[in-house]
Amino acid sequence: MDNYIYFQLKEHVRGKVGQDIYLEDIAEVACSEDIVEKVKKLVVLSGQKEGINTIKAVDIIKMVNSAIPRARVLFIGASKISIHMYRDGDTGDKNISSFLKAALTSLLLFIGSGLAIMYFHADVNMHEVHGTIYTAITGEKASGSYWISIPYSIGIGLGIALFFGILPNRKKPKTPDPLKIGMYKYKKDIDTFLEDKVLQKSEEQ
Amino acid sequence: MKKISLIIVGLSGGTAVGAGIFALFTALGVVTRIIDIGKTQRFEYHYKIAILLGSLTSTLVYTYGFNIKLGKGWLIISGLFMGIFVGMVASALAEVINVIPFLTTYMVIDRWLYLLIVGLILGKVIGSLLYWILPGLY
Repeated sequence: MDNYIYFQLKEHVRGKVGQDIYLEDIAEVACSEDIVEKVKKLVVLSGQKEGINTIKAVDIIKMVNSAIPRARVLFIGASKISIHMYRDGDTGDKNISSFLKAALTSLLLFIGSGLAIMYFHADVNMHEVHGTIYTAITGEKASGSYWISIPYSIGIGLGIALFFGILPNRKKPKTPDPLKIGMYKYKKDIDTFLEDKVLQKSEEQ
Repeated sequence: MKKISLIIVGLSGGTAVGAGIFALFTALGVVTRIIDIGKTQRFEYHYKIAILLGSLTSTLVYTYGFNIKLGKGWLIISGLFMGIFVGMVASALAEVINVIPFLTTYMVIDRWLYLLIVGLILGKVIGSLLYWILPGLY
């Protein structure tokens, strides 16, 4: 490989505030044995505050060239990488305030979803439908009956639990439930937006 | 002539509504989610037939009002299944409009995510029970 250094940038990198980010954290490196350690241990970012930093391939070329003068740097794949620095406490969520927030949000969802299901039943004339089904099965006239409406109400709870996969299931390997996928997509959207904004700003300057 | 045009209107209306219902469930991902939970992709065809028969039966029951004279115990079973399906549709709808991810981003509570769902479930069940039990709501 002579003095060629190949880089393949990773897509997203996360780092804690105060931690140094080395070149090996943000890219796969391939180069000759005698310089590989030196290249990998180049410090890309240090002492960064919370937020998103974008590093372009050109910056890395400059950095590598100043450390190893005769190096020829080649990039494979992406030409920029964003590094998301976050504070240590952010992902922990172990304090009481986060529990309180969760409790409040649960209360909001509890009341809201209860109201929504009532609205829904009134909106679609659910008692009439239940009456029709009652007559269809038993042959008697009745508009709305506890025989059907109470199991129905329990069924709604079961349905939601099934949908979000929170019922215990030991046999089969779990696929990620829709809520996890939804959270992932939502966070990714926000990250992409913030990264693009940071990049735009750095290009304007 | 009148009857022929009525048949045409009824047929096209029914086709549109049937396709619409099926498209709605597909778009919401309810059926795919059910298949995914039980890992029963082999029976995809049977499920299609089941949906078809279900909509057909309920249409006939609703328009002609025939009955099968069974005991009241069957009401419990059908009620339970009705509820499960409605619960799944409701959560699929909430999922499509991103209610929970939106709430959690502003309140940073990944760890308590499932507490939220428990709240959601209790709210739905109790709300539904109140609707049926409290007098004067329908």
